[in-house]
Amino acid sequence: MLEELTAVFPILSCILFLPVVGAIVLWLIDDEDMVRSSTLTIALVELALSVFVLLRFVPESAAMQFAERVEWIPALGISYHLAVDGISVLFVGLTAFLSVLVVIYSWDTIRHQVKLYMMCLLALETTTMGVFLSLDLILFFVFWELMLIPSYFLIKLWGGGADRHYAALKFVIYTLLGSVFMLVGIALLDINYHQWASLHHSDHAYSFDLLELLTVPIPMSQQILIFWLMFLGFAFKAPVFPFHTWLPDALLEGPIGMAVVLAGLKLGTFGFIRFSIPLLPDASKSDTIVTVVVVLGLCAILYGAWMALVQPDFRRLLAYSSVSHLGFVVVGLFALNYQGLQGSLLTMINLGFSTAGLFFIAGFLYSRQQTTELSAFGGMAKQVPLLATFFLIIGLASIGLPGTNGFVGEFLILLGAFEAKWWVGSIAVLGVIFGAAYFLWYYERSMLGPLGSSVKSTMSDLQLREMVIAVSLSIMILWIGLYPSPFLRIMNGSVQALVDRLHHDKTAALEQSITERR
Amino acid sequence: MGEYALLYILFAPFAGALALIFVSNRQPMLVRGIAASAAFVSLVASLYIFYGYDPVQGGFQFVQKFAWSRELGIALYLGVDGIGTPLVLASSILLFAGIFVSWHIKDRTKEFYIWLLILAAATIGVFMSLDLFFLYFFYEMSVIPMYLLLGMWGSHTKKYLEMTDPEGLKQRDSVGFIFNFGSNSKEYAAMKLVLFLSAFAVAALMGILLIYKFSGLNTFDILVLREQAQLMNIPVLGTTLDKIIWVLVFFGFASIAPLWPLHSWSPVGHAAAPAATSMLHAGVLMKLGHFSIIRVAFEILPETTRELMPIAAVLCMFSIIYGGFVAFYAKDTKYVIGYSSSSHMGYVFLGMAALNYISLSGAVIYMFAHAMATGMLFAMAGWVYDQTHTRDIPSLGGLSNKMPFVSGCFIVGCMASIGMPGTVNFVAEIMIVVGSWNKYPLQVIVAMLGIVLTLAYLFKMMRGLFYGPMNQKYSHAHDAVATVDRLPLLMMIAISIGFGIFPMHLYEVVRSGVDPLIARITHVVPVADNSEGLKRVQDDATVTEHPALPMVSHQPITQVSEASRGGQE
Amino acid sequence: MTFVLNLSFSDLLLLLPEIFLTCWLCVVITVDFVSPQLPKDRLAYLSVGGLLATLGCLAWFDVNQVSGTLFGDMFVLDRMAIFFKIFILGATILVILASIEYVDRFTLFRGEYYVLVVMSALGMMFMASANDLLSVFVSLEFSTLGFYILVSYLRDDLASNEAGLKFFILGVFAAGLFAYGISLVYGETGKLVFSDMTSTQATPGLIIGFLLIFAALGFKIGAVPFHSWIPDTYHGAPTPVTAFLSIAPKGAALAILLRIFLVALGTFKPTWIYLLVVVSIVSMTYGNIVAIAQRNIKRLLAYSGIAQIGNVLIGLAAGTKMGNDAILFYLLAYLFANIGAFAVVIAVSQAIGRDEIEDYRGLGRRSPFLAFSMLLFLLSLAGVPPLAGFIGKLYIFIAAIKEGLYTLITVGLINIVISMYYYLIVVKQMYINEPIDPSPISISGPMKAVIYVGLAGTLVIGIYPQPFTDWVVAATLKFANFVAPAATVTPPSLLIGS
Repeated sequence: MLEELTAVFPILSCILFLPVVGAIVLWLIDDEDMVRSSTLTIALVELALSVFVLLRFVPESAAMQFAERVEWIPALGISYHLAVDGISVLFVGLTAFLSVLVVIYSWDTIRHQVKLYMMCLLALETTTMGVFLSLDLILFFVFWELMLIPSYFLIKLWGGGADRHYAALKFVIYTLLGSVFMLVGIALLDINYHQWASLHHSDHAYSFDLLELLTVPIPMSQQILIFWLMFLGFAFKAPVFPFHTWLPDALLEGPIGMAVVLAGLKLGTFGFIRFSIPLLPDASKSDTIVTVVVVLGLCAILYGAWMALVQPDFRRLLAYSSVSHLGFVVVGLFALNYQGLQGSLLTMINLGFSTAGLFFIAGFLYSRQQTTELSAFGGMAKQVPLLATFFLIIGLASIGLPGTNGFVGEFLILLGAFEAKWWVGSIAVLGVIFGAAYFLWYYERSMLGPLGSSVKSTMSDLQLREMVIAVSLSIMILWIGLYPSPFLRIMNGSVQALVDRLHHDKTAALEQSITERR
Repeated sequence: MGEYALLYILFAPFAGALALIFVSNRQPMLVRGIAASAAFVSLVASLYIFYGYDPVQGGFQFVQKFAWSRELGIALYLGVDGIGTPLVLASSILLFAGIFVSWHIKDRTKEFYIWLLILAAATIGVFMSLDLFFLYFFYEMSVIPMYLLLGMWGSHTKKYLEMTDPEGLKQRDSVGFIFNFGSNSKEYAAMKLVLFLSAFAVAALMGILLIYKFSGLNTFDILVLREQAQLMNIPVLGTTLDKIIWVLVFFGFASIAPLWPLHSWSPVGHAAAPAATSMLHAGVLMKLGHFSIIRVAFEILPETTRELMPIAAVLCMFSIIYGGFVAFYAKDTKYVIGYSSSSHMGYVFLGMAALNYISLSGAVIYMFAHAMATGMLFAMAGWVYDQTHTRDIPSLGGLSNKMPFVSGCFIVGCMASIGMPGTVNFVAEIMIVVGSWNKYPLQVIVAMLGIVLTLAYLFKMMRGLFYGPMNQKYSHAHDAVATVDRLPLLMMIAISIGFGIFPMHLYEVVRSGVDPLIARITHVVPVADNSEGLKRVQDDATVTEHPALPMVSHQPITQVSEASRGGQE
Repeated sequence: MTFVLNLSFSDLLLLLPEIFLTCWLCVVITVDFVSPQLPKDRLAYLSVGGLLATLGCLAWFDVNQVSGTLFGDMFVLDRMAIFFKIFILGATILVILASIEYVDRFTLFRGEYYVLVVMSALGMMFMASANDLLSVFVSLEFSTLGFYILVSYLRDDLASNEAGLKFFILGVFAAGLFAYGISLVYGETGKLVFSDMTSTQATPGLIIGFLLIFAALGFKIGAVPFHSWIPDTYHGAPTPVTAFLSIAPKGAALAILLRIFLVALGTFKPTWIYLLVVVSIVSMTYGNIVAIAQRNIKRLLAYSGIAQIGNVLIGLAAGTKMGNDAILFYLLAYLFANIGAFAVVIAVSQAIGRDEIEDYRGLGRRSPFLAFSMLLFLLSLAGVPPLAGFIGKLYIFIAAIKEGLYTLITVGLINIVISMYYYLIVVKQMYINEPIDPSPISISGPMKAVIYVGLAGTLVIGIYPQPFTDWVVAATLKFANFVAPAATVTPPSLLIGS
């Protein structure tokens, strides 16, 4: 019975629009606690829906599931097309999960203009969901751009830092700079489709639909051009190494909630694996591009780690560490083999827990010391043991200790990297070591040792809400770390399809993997 | 009423102006009422033609023709096609909004509304006239009211007011002093605007007269001329006549567009004008340029257009970039918006220059979209000015606490004019990009950077006006609370977003106007096509063969997609 | 040669308007003499009545297409003559109405003022019908005589006297040139009647003669380089006289010019077209550029008048029937706009006593009606739609472009823009600048009437020109056959410069 229900019931649209509708409802509420609690309710419902989707999702399949498709502007071939597959479905869950945590975190940390803040948060959730769900490139772009508005105001109005205005504008402008190039890339894909279509007299002149774009061949030269255009778009957002300069500012100046979303949801790299690689297989395989991107990735790993090593401010450290982690992801993606892709996909999810988690930790520290500067801490483990413990757990996850989720992802990535090119792998390994270095060193200086001078003895340990956040994060971390196969099974099908699309000699196996759809 | 709709649209404002002459200034409500109702009539009528226009049939509809002068072969010949219709709609929307935006004008209310109505009516007249003479007639007629509106109800720039030396003032009032870097008086601006526009208008008139003579048909009827005028190969001055005519017409009309480097009158004019005037001015008056170029040059000289339109493609880059940068460094709200308009008009020229179905439709839709967006911005800049009596961004700030509604709308306005998805501007932009890439990739990239620039200066301005510390001098400023104040903003926002989400009808109407035009210019006939009654687009690139691709099997994922869609049904 | 004068009653009918007006003139004089204490405005209305009657009579002629010639073709009454007579009478009526208040400024001979005005109008009516050189000369001097006196009517005002003297000396000089020209032409051709000269060959004497005649007429219409008297005279003369001077004589002289150039010299068109092109270009440009520098409204209008004549000459240079129609049409538009503008000037100077442009500060607040009318008149002079002046200019341009006078049109178009500048300067004073003393200005009844007529004419002709174009087209029917055929294909050279 659930079968038909899910077949007809537009659950993805519900997931997509529930938060924004909720935001509009919030507008009518005046009482602040009412606002908070209702926001939490909305986020929880959202989470429930996403979990439902995850449960109903058929693993080991490359199929686009829960698809909804409505013509929007038929003349331009723009349609409202939502679906999830193994690549995107996990992100949906992750987004819902993190949003809940952010709402819980913001419960008492946000004091002024609570309602507006919550509305922005929900709007941001909708747009993020939109990015993960939409299969139509224009629809995707719509949400991609709309995301800027709530982000801008979140950073601008609730940021802690002094020059948050500057940070907000920098963030928006950089992202837009990238995305206008991406827009051109999208337009080119469209033009190419149109030329091919009008040669072969298909019935649509134009189309922005991912699945339809996948059906047309793209000349190599075009592919390269489009690849770079879209690369800019994603690289600015991700951010990939030379385009990352906005990230530390945004993360440092912005509120913790925003930082969690920015650092936790790897939209840019998702863009690579969702659009660039499948749409432009030949370009993605071409040596120059692979080399350039991978080298950029490696630079990101080392540079990020090196910078992180010397940061006195925890949030800056996290910013650079996430730059470094993104390096891993990129390297894994452009190893272009099964393990690489799978690993980087998993790592994107992992970072959603670990980096975001560390940002929560930073938030906890901030709310205790009104700063995340190293100088304000020292030997706090005695004072706040629970905080220190969870700090350690999440931190170890982010450096990929075996048993945590980080390990699985990074291991797969390194595997893929070595399989692709041994030297890539061997350089990437350094990153792991650095990662361990900068985290542990910072941890040692801030948590262990003698009690820091500025640490107030009245400092309280984790509150209930903070506990909820920390515990739920740790659970996820250990679950993926110890028993990753459900997650892997979810992504396998799509990753396999992707790999086969890249290396199209294995079509037979691919047919195989598709036929076992529900 | 059907067939007379155009007459209502055109003459309702005139009638309103006429009626106002007999009303005393002592009854302001009556004055406003008359003006508003006149505007309302033409708004309703233009909504009627917009939705009554039949895209499938296409061509010129609601045609009205009255013989006017036999000797000169002039007829009052009105009609709208897919290109005129949205612009007529935009004009009457902005007129209606403008009436309410200028609701609080105390000084000589009556005269203000008279001139505003005449201005709008003349603009509308251009958009619907199918007779070269009347096209010019209304065009020139729309210029003079600007002089009085700017001069009588306009405002000086801050720098000018700060100037104390009488010599400096005199110098800046004199027309000879063209580059005045923002420190100008309203008289200067008005005079510069009128002279500049008239000077180029007469160039266009020369072109029209040449068409009239060499077509030898003794008529100004555009439809007759476009069928029968043979201006192609009359040798003149080592070139052919049509090129001379084309250049005259193009630059004559491009001055009001304004195309770089003919733009210098426009920001000055915007800055001096009262809010409603700048709305109409930037919203629709500028489009007179593009529209007249399409009507005259494109319709009557298609071949030449194909040859010479690259000129526009080159100049539009300068428009976009130059306008964008000046806007970024401008300190005066209206200068920012004014320069941003003149930079955005570059996109329209790009779309026109590419001469392809999608891009030209995009250009036309962009005209409509920009009318709404810039209308909002000017309306709100005007509101801020009315509240604080300054347009100087550095001295403002923190107004968002004082005027939450306006600042909220301002965000939407910025988004719209950036072309944020969800607004009709986005639809237009993507069409321009898609359409013109094959011909002008460089320009497309430039245009894209222009968008980033737009975001930069608009956000900069927004921050300067509404956020940061507030100058206590302006603590008395208050929000737009009354319905008359909110109505215009909400109306324009609703239209901008509404058409952004449901652009189909607008698109079909525009396409029905664009298709025959492009077909005549590029000789590429659109293929008859699928269910939506739309034409399939097919630009020149399709004729060139498609480079071969290292064969990749794309089968599997497609199958999946088919299957999944099957599953969905 | 001998003049055999045989007049039948039916011939006298052709003279009826002139005869009637002459008698009426005597009536007005007598009334003025017999009852000196009669308020002078009665005289004004009396003479206006007579003029109206004459107008009606002429209208009747026009409708019934009465036409014919008298005195061996010296006097011709065709529809063009009728048009010009109506034009002149209209101007006269408006001027008399406009001058009723102003007359009180005259210390002496207030009654005679009207008489003189009507008298010179009578003279100009003869000019409109003059069909040979002698009658042209006689009627020209006859009309000018009246003006000599009128211009210097403000006895105590030095400017007025100076104006009168200038006007007189130069006028007489022009007359001398004219007489000399006539003698040369007569000597060369042995003919005086225009229509007989058509076939004669161009000889040096003939050319010089006609140049002299053109110079004299150019003096009348005030075309550069014969304009030098205009600014001072216009400035000094009583304003109503200036108004009169700026319209009626130009019309009458143009009637003669049309007859001479199209009838007598039609065959030499390729020769004289260059003369006209040069004169008109110079007049337009000089008039407009110098007007920019003016500080006095009357001088400004004087120079703008010079420029307007330059525009009219474009139509003459076209030298076709259409150009001809255009001229007549343009004169109509010019009549209403110019008389209206001068009426406003009179009204303002009645109230303020001066007529510098600065005195128009804030007129828009002091008297919205005057300001608005002035605005429309000036814009009409500048040639802005939807006003009469625009249609007039366009009519002339279209007529000229059919002859391929591209340079001329280009200059004309540029001049429109230049002229717009100084007209707008006045508009700026009226509307944008704030008044110094905001006391409202009152306008007398007849003045209002004049301004209303001006407004009506300006707007109606601008918005619905059809009846007027029909009229002028009908008025010049007989010229169709005199005109050298228009160039069908334009040689490229003409595009560069005619």
